[in-house]
Amino acid sequence: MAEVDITAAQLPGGLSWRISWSGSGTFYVYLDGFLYVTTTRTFYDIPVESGAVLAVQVFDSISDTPDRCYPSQFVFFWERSPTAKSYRIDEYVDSEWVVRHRIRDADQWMYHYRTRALEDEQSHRCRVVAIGPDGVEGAPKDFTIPLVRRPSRPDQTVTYDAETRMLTGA
Amino acid sequence: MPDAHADKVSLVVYHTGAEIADGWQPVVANCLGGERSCSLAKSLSWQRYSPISGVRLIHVEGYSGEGSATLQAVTVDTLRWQPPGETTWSETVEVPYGEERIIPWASAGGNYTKTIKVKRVLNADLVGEETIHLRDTYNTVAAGDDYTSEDVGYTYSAVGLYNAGSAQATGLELLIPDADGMRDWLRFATEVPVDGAIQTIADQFTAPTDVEWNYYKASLTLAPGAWLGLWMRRQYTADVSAHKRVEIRAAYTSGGLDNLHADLRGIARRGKASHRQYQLFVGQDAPPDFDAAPQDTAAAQEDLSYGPLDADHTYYYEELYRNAYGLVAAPQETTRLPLDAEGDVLINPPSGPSDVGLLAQSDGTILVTARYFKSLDAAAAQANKWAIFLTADGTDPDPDVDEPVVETMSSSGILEYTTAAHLDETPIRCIVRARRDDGENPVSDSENAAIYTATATYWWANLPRPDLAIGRTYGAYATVVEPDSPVYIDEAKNVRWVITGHSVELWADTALVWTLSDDNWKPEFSIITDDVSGAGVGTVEIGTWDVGAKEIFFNVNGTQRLKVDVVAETITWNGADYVEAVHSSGAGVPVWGCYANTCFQFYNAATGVWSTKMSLNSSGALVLGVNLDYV
Repeated sequence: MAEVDITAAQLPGGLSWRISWSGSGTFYVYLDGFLYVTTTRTFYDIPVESGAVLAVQVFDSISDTPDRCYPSQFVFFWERSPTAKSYRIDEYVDSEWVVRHRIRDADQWMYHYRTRALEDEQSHRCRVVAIGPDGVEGAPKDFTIPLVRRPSRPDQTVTYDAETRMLTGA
Repeated sequence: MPDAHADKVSLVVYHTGAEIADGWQPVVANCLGGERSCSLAKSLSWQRYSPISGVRLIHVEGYSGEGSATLQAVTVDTLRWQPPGETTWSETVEVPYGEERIIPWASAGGNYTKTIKVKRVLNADLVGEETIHLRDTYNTVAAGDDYTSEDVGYTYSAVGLYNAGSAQATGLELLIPDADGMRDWLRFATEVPVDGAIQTIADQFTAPTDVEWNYYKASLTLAPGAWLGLWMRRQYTADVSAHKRVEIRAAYTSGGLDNLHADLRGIARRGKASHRQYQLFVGQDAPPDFDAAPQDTAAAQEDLSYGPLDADHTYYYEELYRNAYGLVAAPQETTRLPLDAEGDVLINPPSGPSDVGLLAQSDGTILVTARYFKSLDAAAAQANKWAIFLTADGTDPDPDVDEPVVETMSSSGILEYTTAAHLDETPIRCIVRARRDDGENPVSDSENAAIYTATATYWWANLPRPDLAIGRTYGAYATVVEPDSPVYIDEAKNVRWVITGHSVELWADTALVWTLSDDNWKPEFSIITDDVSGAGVGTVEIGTWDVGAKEIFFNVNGTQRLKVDVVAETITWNGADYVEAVHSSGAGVPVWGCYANTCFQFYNAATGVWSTKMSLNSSGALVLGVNLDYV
């Protein structure tokens, strides 16, 4: 029992990738080190946000453990506010708060929100604001979190000079 | 109602640095000694995607470890849990509304080794169960802040181990596990508070004084209501890491129970600005080995260089980036650089096509479709033609050997090519490549090798005579056009099929060769059992035709397999076979060639249906589906 070789192909539209492998039995698909799905199929379609770096591993045994990962997104969890009608998630960008998402209160006990793929080696500041019946905003829950993740692939600058036969960056 | 377990699971780890004793101080960076706060020192974090409504997690003791735990409502007022990696449940604990409760999980010896603390914050029934994903936590007070200095040095922080129970905690053992190299860089020291406080340090780089650094200390005792300062020292040397695990175990005995825990854990990061670099990976005649050292590194991309490259090789290269913590970008797609014998660039071949498809049409032709995206290639590398490599003999096409069908590519990049008609059931295999042929540079094809397959098909409208009605009131005759007769094989020689409606006859001028009916085959000539071979054209062909011999050959996929000699009045093939099933076809003609069989058809005028009564296979055997009427 071991990790399964996988291939990845971007699906039409560019919003999802199809991860495929071969074999039979039960497979355990990990995304960023998190057990995302258990399946007997030999493929799985995964939505991947533009700019996100997602580590995917597939195992044919539950006893296998994924490699350590360095995700690019944060997930916030919060308990519902009994008086809130909705929640707003803001991100602090360029010295001002930018609204990222709104969630209507659906009488759940807890809510969660996954951020966009965030920049490497930076502290990111986000907040969750509970909104009351008349649009009154509650005191925000403010987070500042340093993120270190696997960096994005840089723009490719290297070119070949046939005169010198050298590869050089720019 | 007090928590029955609080007395036993009594040691709690709090932040230091409070303004007043037992004051609120949740900031890790302020844990620089002084007064003990009432803010819990976090070890494990949790994720709850489908939580039990009304239950708040207060703390999960660090010894429980990472993984997936289960919290379950046993009744509407009680909970139990199963720590990660365990298969047994904790004891069941009643959790009244508004109250906090410790839920202890006992190991085989009955000792409480893993505990969770919850609070019921909704006055509603406890229902269901949930999975709690427990994870180590970055930047806990044990782990400290991320440290990105170039210097070698230490950082310090302090927590307070507080005995919140009513019994003495004895046998307190503090230990840094001998794992993950933690003892190489992590130490702790204890300090007994004086007048309710331990010493305060100016910042995280200032060492506390008069303390002794250890990775193991035993036999400590903590009275009820007392606390012990625990300093942590992290040494940062030359290494960098995005994941340095920190763990300090605190095991103790209380209330008659051994092996209770108040562990501290976390993850630290160590980075260096000097570690940031761009990396150039190069492979000669193969993609680069990204597990090996890069071929060049530089602080700025413009300083990357590698070479001189050898002529007459193909290189593959990709630029990556490593951050201050040693994490490197994931390789995605190498650039291919083929060099000719002069060291000049052979322009990269175009990208392969997408959405390749083979569709068998009703007439034995195959529609080949594909799409090429010009935007994937640089302008100089874009394809302008299609190269279609086809085989019709069951073998794989070989682009290095086979001559392709070349089609000009439309501006849309969409291919719709229809092949010539093939024999029924012919296996078609195909590779479709995008081709660049600008008339100046060498022709360059994409390198995709996927083989697509289809089987040539003929669809016959071989319907029985229909039943007709006029409205719902009357029936009506269906007027059906009967097949033409005769059907000439060679009109000049008067070789023909005669379709009578109850038989199909083969005639050679005035000689009847055979009659095929619904239930028998009646040859009029002598039968000779012998191999017939030789290259043939089509399904039926005329051979020698003179006074000495007049030959009619029936072929299977290009090989002559049955011969009629009208002069000698013989029919020759290598033997009849009644064992195999006739290879059926619905073809509406007297003889029909499939890929590996030639079918002899019978038309039944009563039903209006064509069917196969005998077939000649590729071994030369005549498979009979009817009786042989031969005297």
